[in-house]
Order: sequence, then structure tokens, then C-alpha cells
Amino acid sequence: MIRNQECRQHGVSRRSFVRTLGVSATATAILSWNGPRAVARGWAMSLPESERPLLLHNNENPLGPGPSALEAMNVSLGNGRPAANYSFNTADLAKAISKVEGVPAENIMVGNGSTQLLRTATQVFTSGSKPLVSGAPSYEECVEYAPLCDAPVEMVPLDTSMRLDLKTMAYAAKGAGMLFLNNPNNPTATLHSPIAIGDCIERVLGASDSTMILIDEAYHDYVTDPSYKTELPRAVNNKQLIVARTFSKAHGMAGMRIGYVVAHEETLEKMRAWHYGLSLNVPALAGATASMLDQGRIAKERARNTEARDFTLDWFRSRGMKATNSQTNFVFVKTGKPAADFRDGCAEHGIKVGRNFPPYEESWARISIGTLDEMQRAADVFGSVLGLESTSEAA
Amino acid sequence: MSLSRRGFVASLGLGGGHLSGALIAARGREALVGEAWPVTAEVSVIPPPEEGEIRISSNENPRGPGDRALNALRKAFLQGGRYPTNAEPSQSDLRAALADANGCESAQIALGAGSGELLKNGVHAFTSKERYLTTASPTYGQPKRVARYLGSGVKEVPVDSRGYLDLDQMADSGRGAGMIFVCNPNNPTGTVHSASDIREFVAKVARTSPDTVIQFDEAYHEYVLDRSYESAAALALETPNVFVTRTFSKVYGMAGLRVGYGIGHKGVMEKLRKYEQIFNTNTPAVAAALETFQDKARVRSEIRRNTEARDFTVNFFRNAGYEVFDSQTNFIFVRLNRPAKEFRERCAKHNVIVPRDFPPMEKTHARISIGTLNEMRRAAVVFAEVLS
Repeated sequence: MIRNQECRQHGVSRRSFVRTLGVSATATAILSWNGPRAVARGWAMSLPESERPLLLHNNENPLGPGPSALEAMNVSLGNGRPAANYSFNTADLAKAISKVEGVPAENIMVGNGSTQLLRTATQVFTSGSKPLVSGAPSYEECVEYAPLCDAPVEMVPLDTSMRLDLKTMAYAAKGAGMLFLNNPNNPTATLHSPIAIGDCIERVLGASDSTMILIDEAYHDYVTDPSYKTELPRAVNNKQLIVARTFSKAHGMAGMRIGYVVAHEETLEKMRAWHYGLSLNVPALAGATASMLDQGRIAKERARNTEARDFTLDWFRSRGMKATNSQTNFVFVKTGKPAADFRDGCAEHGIKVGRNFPPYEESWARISIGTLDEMQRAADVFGSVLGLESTSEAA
Repeated sequence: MSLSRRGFVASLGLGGGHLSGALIAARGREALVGEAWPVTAEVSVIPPPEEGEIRISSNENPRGPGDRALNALRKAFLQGGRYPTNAEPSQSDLRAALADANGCESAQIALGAGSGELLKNGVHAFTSKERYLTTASPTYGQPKRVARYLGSGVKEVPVDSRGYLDLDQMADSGRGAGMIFVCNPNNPTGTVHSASDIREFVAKVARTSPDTVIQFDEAYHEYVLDRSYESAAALALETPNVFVTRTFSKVYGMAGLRVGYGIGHKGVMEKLRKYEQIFNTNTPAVAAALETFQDKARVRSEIRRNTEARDFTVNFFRNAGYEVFDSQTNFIFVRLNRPAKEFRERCAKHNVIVPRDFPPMEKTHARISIGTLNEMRRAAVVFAEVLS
């Protein structure tokens, strides 16, 4: 009951999904709330793994934090007292990032997921007279936050190959406060080459010495295209460039809330004037530091994701459905069915898939990549929902 | 589990780094929780070492969260890959539990990475260049800083000679304000206002400035012993434009985990929650908060502990002839008749860390957080020497 109700909420936007859950689905679960007993209600975590709902809707890492991160998180609690102390210290994490990514620690700023940093940048660099420019569809955080700063938003549709239209975006950025580029782009999973990104940056810089460019590289670790390059190094020296990263994806720490940006020190100074610094928790700082230094695990995670992604893409393509060239931990597929119908159909079988992404919601769906086992289980359901083949689950 | 937690941590720190990794590989992830970090074992909190720094500067709880919360954290780490909306328990479960405890709907509960985030969102949502902030002086400073950044005006109303907020003046100053910030009990003065004072204040503002929002910051709510006090939460639920913020950072000992919440009238919460970052609390902290929220025995013992250490500290200063404001919190505000800076620097030489300045009273008063009784006894020896 509860599960189905929660699944049905996915017709609405991500934000209202969470808000609605707060009052409807959970309210049902909590009707009989009288303390810890309600916590022990029939949660999915208590089911055998093969029967748990598959969460393929938020681009999470199905494995969670790695062993070194888990260990560091546990150790960080000490005798309990460290958990009672405000966590101001980001120095160790900045050092670890600096070591791995080769950017100076003083150019790194840590936040409550990259989300908080995206919001901070939007607050600081856009306003009523300085619009935000974004692709459509692209990751929505800045677009959703801009109205809270009274900033107008200009959305540039994707090009015919479902990639960010970088030339039009650069043009639209004239006079803007900030241009948001998500590379690879969520939800289309598509990647831009360093040449295309570099060209876009040059155009924006050539037109204005104040327009900021925020490049969100949340899915950086999942890219397998050898032509790809991060823009982190360029952000160190360029006052108009900010590059965001997160521990929510390949590092498997979405629930820990930690991410970072790399930017020029003057840019970070401006962001700090607004940024709420007390947003970081002690275990997340320790876990992220350990995870950053454990790059072997990231390489393994990339290989694991690639295998499950390839399986999923092959499954759809071999059945005649188009999919974009995914460079992330999700795929964007033309199922030919409205995303809402596909989503509801999957939900009937305990699988959550992505929300609507207009203007593609009539025939495209975003599906996050779980483990290979999970994707094999999901593929049976996809086949049944799309009426392609009868499966044991449909029978 | 024969190894004490401390011993285990120590051995991990000494190059046993692969232990838990090996455990996971060999036994599955649950082994990490079940064995290496006992979920059910009674592990008493280890007192801080006799030597070393005494940190009584940030009004932190010296014990940390209880074992129930710690165990919930360790279990929830395994779900660290799930956003707080998808984990079990989820942030919606926490919202629902808080709503249930207060007899309101989940939509009337805002969550934050600590209540600080909600203070910030409140100023963002309800003040502007046209609508100023009224606050006290001295009081918790964050709302003023946020207002300044936004270009909102700020009016400050001084506390009275005993460290109490001047609620009557604040209501007058708040006529036409976007928001009035009321910290009750007040940080840094430690004083609390009675339920009837608060009701009178709310009624006056509703009468004279009905569009003005009132935010009550009740971070220290649980530590209050004064029987005339009552949380403004019930009042907020029935009064338009009023909301209350609370935190898990103080009595629950979770400052390093970042969970706070707001509660209030439907309309005001709808506006406030527009500013709420979708994922701001974190998955383990949500689990710990739900657990500790039920742990009434822990809260009671923490209040007892704080009261004992606070009474000792207050008596120490009063016996030495210094005026101490009535503290209803886990810190005290003392009239030392000398600059806080001088006191702070001299204490620091003895490894006792006391807080920053609280203008406009920094020339005469200092705030001191309450640590364990043991720490306060050691600190008192230092205070005696520093003040002599």
C-alpha cells in the first residue's frame, strides 16, 4: 500500500514529490505513530534483497559508501563526543581533493552536497537584473532557486542530438549573471568534448567580464569517453569559472550530503559571504576524505557502472529503442511511451524510475543504473511494461 | 564483543585499517554493524581525558549523542548512498514524527542542516530592502548577518540590565518589520521569558503589526528549568505568522550531525519551506534524530548533568563576587568587569577555551559554555587564577 502510494507520487516534479510525501504517503504510514514501533513498520530494508523495491529514480550509487569511507565514518564518531562538536574543519578533505585532483586546497570550497554550492552560486551571482541561463532539460537546482533571488531564468532547449546547445547558450549568456552547464548533462546523459566546452567558455568570457560559468561535473567519475576532460584546472585561475563536484554519485554518499566546488579564491570569497558554513556533518567529512583517497574503489565503481549501463543500453537498443550515449550512471531512453505511464507501470512491479523531463516526457524516460543484477531484474519488468515480451513476473 | 569501543577505535587507528574492509568482504556489510560496531552492546560514554584542552566555547553537549543514537548512525551509514528522501528511515519519517509529537501536519515542519539553516531561510523569506529585521542585542547573531547581506534593514533592541530581552520594545520596534527574531532562552545571556510574557508579546505584534513574522529560536528549550516557561510551538501552530525553530545540536548532542527543525502556522511554513534545500539533513543524522527523539531517559539525564555542572559554575562565580545572569541554558553569562578578550586569552594559556566577544557587552561580560562537571571543576581552578 505505502509503496504503491509513494511510487505514484512520481508524476510530480522532484521537489513537490518530496513535499507531497511529507503529508500523504508518510502520513499514512504514520497514522498509527506512537513511537519506535512505527519505525519498525514494514520497511523495504527488512525484505530479502531480491524483493526490495528498486530505486532507479535518483541516480544514486546502489553500493553506497565504500569500505574505507564506512570505516572513516565509524571512526569519526569516536566515543560519541566528536558528533556533538560543530564541524568547521574542511582542511583534511580539501587536502585529499587537492592531492587527487591536482588543484590547490585554497581553491576548494566544501558544501552540503553540490546542491548547496549551486544554490550559493545562484544567490551570489544572479539577481533581478542578472539572469540565469540554463539548458532545458538540465539539472534543475539553479533554475528552481533563481526565483528565490528574483532572478529571471532563460532556458535554452537542447539541440537535435539532445545535447546542450552550447552556442545558443553562450549567446544567451550575454548580460546574464550566470550560465549553468551540466557536463555530462542530467537527464540526457550526454557529454561535451573539452573543445566544445572550451569554445563556449571563450565566447562567454569574450562577451563579458562578469558573467559566471558554473560547470556541474556531478557524473565526472562515470565518464568513459576518452576525449573527456574536467574543467577543474581552468577554474583555479579563472575568476568567472566555477566547477562543482559531488560525493553523491560514484562515491556513493548521496545520503551524507557533501560536495565541493573549485574556483578562483576571489570567487570563493564572494560565495563565502553568503554561504551557510555550518552545513557539514562530521562523518561525511571523514568519509569523503577517505573515499577521495581511495581512487581504486572509484575505478572499480566506474567499471561496475559501465557494465550494468552497457547491459541496459543493449537491452533497449536491441529491441529497437533509441538511447542517448550515456556517460553517467543513468540512461535516457526513447521507450515510445509517456514517461508517466512507463513510470506507473514499473511502479506496479516495485521499480521506481525517473520523473518527467519536458519536453521529452511524451516518449523518453530516465532510468538510473543499479547493479547488474538489479538491471537484469528491471529489464524483465521493462519488457512487460512495454508489452515486448511475456515474463514470469507478468504471468 | 569483548573489545571496548575505545580499544577498538584505538586499534583501528594504529594500522588496523583493513579490519572492517576485510570484515565486509568476508561477512557482508551487516557484519560491520553487527560485530565491529555493536548495535546492541551497552557501551558507556568514556569521560574525556584529565589532561588537555577544555572546549567550553560553542555551547556544545560534552557527552555527545547517546548509544541509541550512535548505533542508529552506524546502521544508517550503510544506507549512506541513498538520499535522505529514499533511505529508511527517511527525512519524511522524521518530519512526520516531529509533526506527530507536536500535533500538526508534516507540511508544518521544516527541516534544516541544523536550525541555523532555518534562521537563514527565515531572514531570506521574510525580510527585504523594504522590510527590515528586528532583533535583540546581544542575541544569536546569524539573522543580523544574513539580513545585512541581503540589504535588509536591521533594528536592534538592547537587553535589559539583567540580560532579559526587552519584549515590549521589540514589539514596538517591530511595527512594520518583515520579521522579529526572538531567541528564548536568549544566547548569550541565558535568560528565559515566561509563557505569559511570550503570549502577551505575540498578541501585541499581531495587533500592532499583523503582517510581521515572529521567529522564536528555542535551541536551548530542553535545558530550561524555569516552570513559567513554555515552548511557543503550540502558540505558533494557532497564530498566523509565527514559527519556532529547534535543534538536535544541544540537549541531543548532535551539533556535528546537523539536524534542526522549524514548526509553525501553515501559511508561514509554506513560505519558509520554499527556501528549504531539498536534501539538507543527512541520512544517518535523520536516523539518529528519530532514535534520540524517543530516548526520553537520555534527555532527562542530560538535563540533570547540565544542571549540576551549571549550578557548580554559577556558584563558583557568585561566591567569588561576580554577577551571573539567570541561566536556563547550557552556558552562563558572567559580569567579569573586564574585557572578554583578556579573560579568553588568559584562559587559553591554560588550555581552557572560552568564547568570542558578545558586543556590546564584550568589555564587561563573558559567556562560558557548560562542559562536564569534571571539566568545570578543572576550569574553575583556571578561572580563579586568571581572575585573581
